[in-house]
Amino acid sequence: MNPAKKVAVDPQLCAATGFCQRLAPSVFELPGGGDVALVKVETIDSLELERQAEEAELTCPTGAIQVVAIDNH
Amino acid sequence: MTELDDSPSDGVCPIASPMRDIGSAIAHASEVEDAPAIEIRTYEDISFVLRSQAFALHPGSGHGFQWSTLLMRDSVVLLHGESHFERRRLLSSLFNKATLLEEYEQEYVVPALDRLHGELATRKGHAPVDLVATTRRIMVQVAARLVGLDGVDDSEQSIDRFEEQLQAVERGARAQRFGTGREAVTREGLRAQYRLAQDYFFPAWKRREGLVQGAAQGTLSGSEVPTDLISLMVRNRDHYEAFGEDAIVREATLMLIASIGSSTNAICFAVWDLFEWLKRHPEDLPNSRSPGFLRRCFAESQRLGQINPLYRTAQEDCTLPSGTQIRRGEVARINRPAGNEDLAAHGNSTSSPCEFDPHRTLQNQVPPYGLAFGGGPHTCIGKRFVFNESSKKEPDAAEELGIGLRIFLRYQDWGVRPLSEEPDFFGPLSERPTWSTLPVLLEAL
Repeated sequence: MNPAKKVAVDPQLCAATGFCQRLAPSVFELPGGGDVALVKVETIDSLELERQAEEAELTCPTGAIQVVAIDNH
Repeated sequence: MTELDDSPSDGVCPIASPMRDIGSAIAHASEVEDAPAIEIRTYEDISFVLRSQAFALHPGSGHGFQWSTLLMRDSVVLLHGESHFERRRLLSSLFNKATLLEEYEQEYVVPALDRLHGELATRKGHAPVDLVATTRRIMVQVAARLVGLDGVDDSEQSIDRFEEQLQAVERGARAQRFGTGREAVTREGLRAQYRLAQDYFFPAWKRREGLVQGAAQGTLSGSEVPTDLISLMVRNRDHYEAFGEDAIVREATLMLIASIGSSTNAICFAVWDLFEWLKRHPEDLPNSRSPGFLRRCFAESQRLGQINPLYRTAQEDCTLPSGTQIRRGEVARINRPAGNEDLAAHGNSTSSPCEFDPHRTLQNQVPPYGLAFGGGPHTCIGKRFVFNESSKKEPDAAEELGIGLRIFLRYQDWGVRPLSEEPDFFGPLSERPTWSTLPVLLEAL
């Protein structure tokens, strides 16, 4: 089974570009007029959501997103 | 026959000319008048403008963009909205952490530094080294690797030949700075850009086409296709072709110019700023090789050193947080030093906001480099290239720093000590001071 991953947005780096919401709409949302993207699903355990979240992490212009494996040990 | 068709053709370059109608394009650029500009000085207003989709880079607004667009039209920095999003999405794979650390840094930067160490060690610490030329030479090799220009090897002759053409392109991209000479500088830049395409870009492109095709047919493994800009553009040819046959050359031009000069300048500034700081603060000498401390130094140096204004044109009437109104078609001229001083004035340091203080924190925990990398969707795409923003506030290993910082750290390990009493800058490529030379001793070699 694919290990779960944790998703976080650094509010100091987030510039509310909305890139993450477009790439992973099930994981991120940017409420209208919001300054910071919100994480809708903090722990993801499906491959498709993981792929979307990691593309958002990679594409975020300000590098505000982190997707990291949860260490169960 | 166009005025730029005087370049010899070797049968490899598939584009006939970088600009078939260059005469009229240059004439048009000369006629563009600068749109009315409103200076933006507070961090809050600047942040608003940089984040807002209501502001865009617009060549028709003047302020130099009508010149740089001749060489870099439709490259990622000049796109807006949907096309910008799609381009950033494509290019981001070049800047992922694994690619940066495992491919560029380990395969190119570390060996280049090791070779340099070997060369310099024989001279011992008492022979001065020009840190500008030395750093630029490393960055040329890294940038050529990033783009995928196989023809640039690490020999001095190869790098000099490449540099001669690239610097002409760079002058052309900043033609606005050359006043009445800007038309000639633009023509020279376009010729050099075409020659770069002939001599380096398209030979590499043909090789990449073969590799990508081989990988698609299963005769090669995917790992045999290098991770670089040209491979990426070969794989996404349809996207680039929508912007014209030479859009691929303009994108490569941007990546080369953006990754060499500014990184070299940033590293030299960081060395200088830290050296001056340690003269006044010897209590920090024990920290002078610590990755965490050096990252703070580099960021603070960037905050102070990146002073070129940024321009954005309002696409609709806007009111900024301060109440300043900008009407559609007007230009927001973003004063980065003022914005960075505003951030520092509300931070923790008692020293002047325009003085170097690596222990300073900024307003509301804004990252310590402030506005150095711009902001919003157009945040410098190479930020991770030069400055890897680890989640760890205090990195403890060089591998976590990014390429620019890694070079800075290595120079500190080598005991770098500037010999000049005053900085030696030259212009007019930029409004920002640009290092001409920086003679140093490397006392720990």
